[in-house]
Amino acid sequence: MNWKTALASAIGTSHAQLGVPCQDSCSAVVRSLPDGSSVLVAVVADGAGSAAAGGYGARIANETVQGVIETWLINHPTDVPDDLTTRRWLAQVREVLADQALVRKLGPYDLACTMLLAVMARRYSVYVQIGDGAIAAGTGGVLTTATWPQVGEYANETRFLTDDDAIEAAQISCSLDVAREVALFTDGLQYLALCYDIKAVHQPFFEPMLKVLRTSKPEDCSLLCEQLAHALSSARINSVTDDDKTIVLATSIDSGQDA
Amino acid sequence: MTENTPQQVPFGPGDFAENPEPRVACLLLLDRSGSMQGSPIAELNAGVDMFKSELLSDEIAQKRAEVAVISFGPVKTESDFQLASNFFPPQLEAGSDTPMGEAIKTGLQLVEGRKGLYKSRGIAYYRPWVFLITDGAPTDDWGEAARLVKEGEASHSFAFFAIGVGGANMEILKQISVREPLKLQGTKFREFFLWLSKSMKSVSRSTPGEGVKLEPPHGWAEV
Repeated sequence: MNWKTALASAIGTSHAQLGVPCQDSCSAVVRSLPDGSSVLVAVVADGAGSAAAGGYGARIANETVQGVIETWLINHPTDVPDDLTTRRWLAQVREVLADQALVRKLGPYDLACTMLLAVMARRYSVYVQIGDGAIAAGTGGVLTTATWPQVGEYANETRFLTDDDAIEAAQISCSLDVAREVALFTDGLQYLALCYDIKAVHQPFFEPMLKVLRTSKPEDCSLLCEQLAHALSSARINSVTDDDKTIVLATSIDSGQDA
Repeated sequence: MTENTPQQVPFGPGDFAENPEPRVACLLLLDRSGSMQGSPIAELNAGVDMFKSELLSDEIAQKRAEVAVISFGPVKTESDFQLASNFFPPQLEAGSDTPMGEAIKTGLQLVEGRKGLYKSRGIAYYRPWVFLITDGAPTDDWGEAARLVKEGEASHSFAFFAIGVGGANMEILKQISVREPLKLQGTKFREFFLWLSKSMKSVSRSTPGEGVKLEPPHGWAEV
């Protein structure tokens, strides 16, 4: 499986107006296993607006979880991660957030952020979500919801990685089902990418991008990221959401090759 | 061999899903008792007109903020919750007494009903706001209303604000409202509604964890 990825974050107009930086953070890293296969680790994190340093928390959470999983893959090259393993990863990230808060003389909830994580290997897929936004995945052509936005009664209430019960409340799915395409996105895009009445993925949102990604070469991906960032800052999107927008797209389908 | 043809369309999302926008419900409980006759009620009407046009002027608030109006006395539901484009401010005329207790109870039922509708239709919503504007004291039994306000605030069901105008009995308002009631300077309704529309715009944009902070009530409230 050779993964091709396109990812971008764009600041929301409400933050831009206030001079506040984008509070989202994202990453997509493809790691090689000793057996020659690849594992995609994709992360999206969104800093809580009310937290003093939510954006910073999102960045730390992003970098930390990548490091935690890199170490796990090195130490467990042939294992399949299960629910317990995944909760341990989250616990490690929470510890780092707590340490960083202390170091910076902040409160334990000041680095609050949501987290979406997808680990896609040849033999397993792991999806983790704390908070809103969502993860969609599929085997080629159609994406289905792997996770759904976690909200409270009110639209501006969600869960954060720093919540006391975050690990218990996390949506976690570890399975031997393998998906060949995945998309992770923050809440700035959730009303555009999901159909709320039927709780499903809105395919037309993703299809044009996946179509291009499938036929792209890996070296084209950085240009795609630039174009994606531009698209996320367009008037078309900003007229319907003023929140920060982040999306990570990945495909291991390569329809650009001749038979 | 497939050539690397330049894309016709820049790389980006396709069509957007059509979901109902999340809503923020704002209920206005407006005193139109006899003492509001003349300049106070004229200014109040002008203020509500301005509230509508301010909401309409904001791209996101116009899709999310819903307004309902109940006036008293007697208690009359002037209009149920509507987006600004379908909200037609009632031109209130000064009436008779001040059945504030009944107005509050009717209003809170209207709010709960709206939330029920949102839930049944899968529409996301923010915590509703209730604004009571009065220049007098209740002429009916307000004990039950005060209890409902306290319960609702404690359970985060809504946010209730009381605004006293002119000769309003602030002591009673303090017993009805959990939050400190505010006194309007003179008849500065326009300034109040401008502030309210700004606050509505903020709420309709608020993102998770933000627990909306109201702007300080400068320019219309007596300190």
